[in-house]
Amino acid sequence: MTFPDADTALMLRVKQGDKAAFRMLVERYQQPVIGMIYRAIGDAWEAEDLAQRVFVRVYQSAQRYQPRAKFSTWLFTIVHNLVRNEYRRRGRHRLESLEHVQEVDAGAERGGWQPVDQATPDPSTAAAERELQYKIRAAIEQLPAAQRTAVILCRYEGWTYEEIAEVLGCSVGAVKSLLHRARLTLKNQLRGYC
Amino acid sequence: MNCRKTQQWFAERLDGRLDETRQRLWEAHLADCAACRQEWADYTAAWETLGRAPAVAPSAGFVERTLRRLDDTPAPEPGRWSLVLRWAALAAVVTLTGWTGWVGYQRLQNERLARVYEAVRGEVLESEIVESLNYL
Repeated sequence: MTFPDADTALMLRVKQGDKAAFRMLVERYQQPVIGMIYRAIGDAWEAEDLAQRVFVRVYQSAQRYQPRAKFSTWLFTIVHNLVRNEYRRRGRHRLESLEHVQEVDAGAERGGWQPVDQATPDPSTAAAERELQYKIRAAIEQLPAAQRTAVILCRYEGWTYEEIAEVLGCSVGAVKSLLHRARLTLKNQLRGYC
Repeated sequence: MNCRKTQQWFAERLDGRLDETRQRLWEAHLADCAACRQEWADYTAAWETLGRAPAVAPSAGFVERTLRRLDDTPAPEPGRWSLVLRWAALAAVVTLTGWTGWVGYQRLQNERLARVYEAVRGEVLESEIVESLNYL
């Protein structure tokens, strides 16, 4: 039997109760999963918490797993749904405060998660950079769930329209439309910051 | 080629999904239209700006914490359909048990009635014979 990818074979081992295979999947996908959630909700600590819930759900759903598509497609469908539920739970259509955005620095000081790119410019440039990041985050958070996921997967993960369509359960044409509408919104939101 | 169509193709142009013919049409319009050029510049600039948002790396020990959380998490709740199926199975068992009991009870009742009928019929026949003998 052939599988779409090596991760699918690992997932089928997880289905048999193989925790070592599960560990390999977590190691392999921790970065993209946390990265996507972080970009969606803008909070690194919550991103890790949600990422853990994603992986726990993967393990718990292993018995029902059917290798119909790539493992990553199935995984990011779970991520998309959890993030969407998190937004609903919070009733979250509000802008975050600037202090909240500054968790990038606070997190690093606490010795926890680390921003990948840590440039250390002068204070005024750093403040401008923080404001820009705040605007980017707020703009992404204000997008509807499907647009947000499409933007993150396309812009940061480099996924194709076809792959995004599988995650969102829609057509390729719909993905094109989602991305276009999201980009128009982002263009207006980020005007003056580009 | 008009401005509306040109701007509708922005996403596909940005993602390199326009075929050669459409791309030529698109570029020809953009070369002639300052408004669309400006829109395109803003459109691509916003997309570029998104790339300046920092990424985060998982904190140390994330994998171990996830595995521990797995051990601490209770078994998943059954899904809605699973619950429906359980209730349906329970209802089927209860119905079957009730029906079997009722049929058994009816059969016992019928047997008892038959015995009573036979006994009564026997007594009637006996009294008829006695009556006939008396007549004779």
